[in-house]
Amino acid sequence: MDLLLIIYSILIFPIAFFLGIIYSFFLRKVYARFQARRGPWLIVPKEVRKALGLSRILQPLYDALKLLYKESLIPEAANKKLFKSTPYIILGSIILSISFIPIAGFSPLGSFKFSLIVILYLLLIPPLLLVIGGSSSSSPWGVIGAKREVELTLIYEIIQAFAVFSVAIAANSLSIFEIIEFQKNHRPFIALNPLAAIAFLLVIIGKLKVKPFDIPDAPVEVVAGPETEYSGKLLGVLELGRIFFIFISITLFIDLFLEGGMHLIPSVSFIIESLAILFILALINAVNPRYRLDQAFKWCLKYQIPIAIAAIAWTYILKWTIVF
Amino acid sequence: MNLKQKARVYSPWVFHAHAGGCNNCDIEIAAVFSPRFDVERMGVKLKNNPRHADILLVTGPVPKQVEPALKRIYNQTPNPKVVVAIGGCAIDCGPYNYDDAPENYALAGPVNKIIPVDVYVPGCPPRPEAIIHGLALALECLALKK
Repeated sequence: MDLLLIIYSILIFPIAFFLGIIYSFFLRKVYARFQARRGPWLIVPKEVRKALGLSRILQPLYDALKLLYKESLIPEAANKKLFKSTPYIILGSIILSISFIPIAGFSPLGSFKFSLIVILYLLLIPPLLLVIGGSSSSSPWGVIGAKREVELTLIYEIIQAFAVFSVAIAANSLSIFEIIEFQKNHRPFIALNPLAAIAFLLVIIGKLKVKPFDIPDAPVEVVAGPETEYSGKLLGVLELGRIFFIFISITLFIDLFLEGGMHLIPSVSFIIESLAILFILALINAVNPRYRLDQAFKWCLKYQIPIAIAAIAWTYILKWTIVF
Repeated sequence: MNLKQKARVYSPWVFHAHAGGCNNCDIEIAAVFSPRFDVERMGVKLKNNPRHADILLVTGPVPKQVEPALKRIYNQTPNPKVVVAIGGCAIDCGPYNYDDAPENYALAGPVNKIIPVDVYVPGCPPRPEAIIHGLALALECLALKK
């Protein structure tokens, strides 16, 4: 049993990476299909197979690899230590948070009591460090993007806390394993508390920078936001971090609201549910224009925070009326 | 092909540098990324940041005003990089370059006078198919670079 645990713990990182690649490919593909484009090839046609490979399902991995092989330019006016170190810290914190999140009902380090809080704080590191990297890059675009990132992170953290803790209050525990157990005994939280699920999905949309909220790195306004001056290896590390981050946010949603994807055949239903959520995200990405920063802020204050507060209220109503 | 070349050929990111020109070539480049000729099938992505790019698509006869900017864009692109000159203007200043008259006083010359060019795509404007062919040749150049 112990040996199995160790093997699983080592295997979970490659599995997470592979699934993250599949997820980001799926996002790109579905987004392209909604725009009536083809997107990266799933199966490369026979005529060009010799030069272009069999399939492009690993496209995000090729992107990251290509960037890792390129030279990285560092601007002269940048604060070099901060500028170079932030991508690595971001990647490290994201990889660390994988070991606390149950993936299809298993996690190497997450079996203790307060894993939810640890994950929330670990997932707060990437946006804040991206802000530091952007503002240390000496580029005005980086600074503007960083400022936008700060403002949005501030408001998302409030909503995320409300959404996550409404689940924690209902399940009466702060460990994700116990939350999953609770959902197995009763019903998934997406049915018990749909308001919290909506609030959390909207937070994911913001954190993954899906269309209405891709304000910090809007390509037409701020060149690439905080990532403007990053190139080569450093950008490749950020790209790897993004691959992992897509996986983590989707997995967290499934763990909290869909009983960890443990319905029929654990791993298969887990992946199918993730792809369904990604499909929704790609649809939202394709049909929406971008908000201005103040519009996004107003939208959050007007709709998202009331929804999150209503989720908490609904949790208490559930607790007092229905016998858990 | 080793892994390095494979990764490079499979995911070229493109920066479109507009150097003068009348916008026709730029419209054709936009068509290359549109539903009909979608180049994202091959993993090509249009970035608007030279620091993220592998391939520079340059259009237009370079005016003297744009010359320093084009040089700067070229230097901002990390190695290995490939430059594709698109359209007659980028190759030899097209209609602004007469045999019997002096050259236009406002032009700094075709693109290859200012930055090294790897691939030329002729046409006024070139068809999207021609631009895709040029991108394919640029991928060959990318694979051969160090």
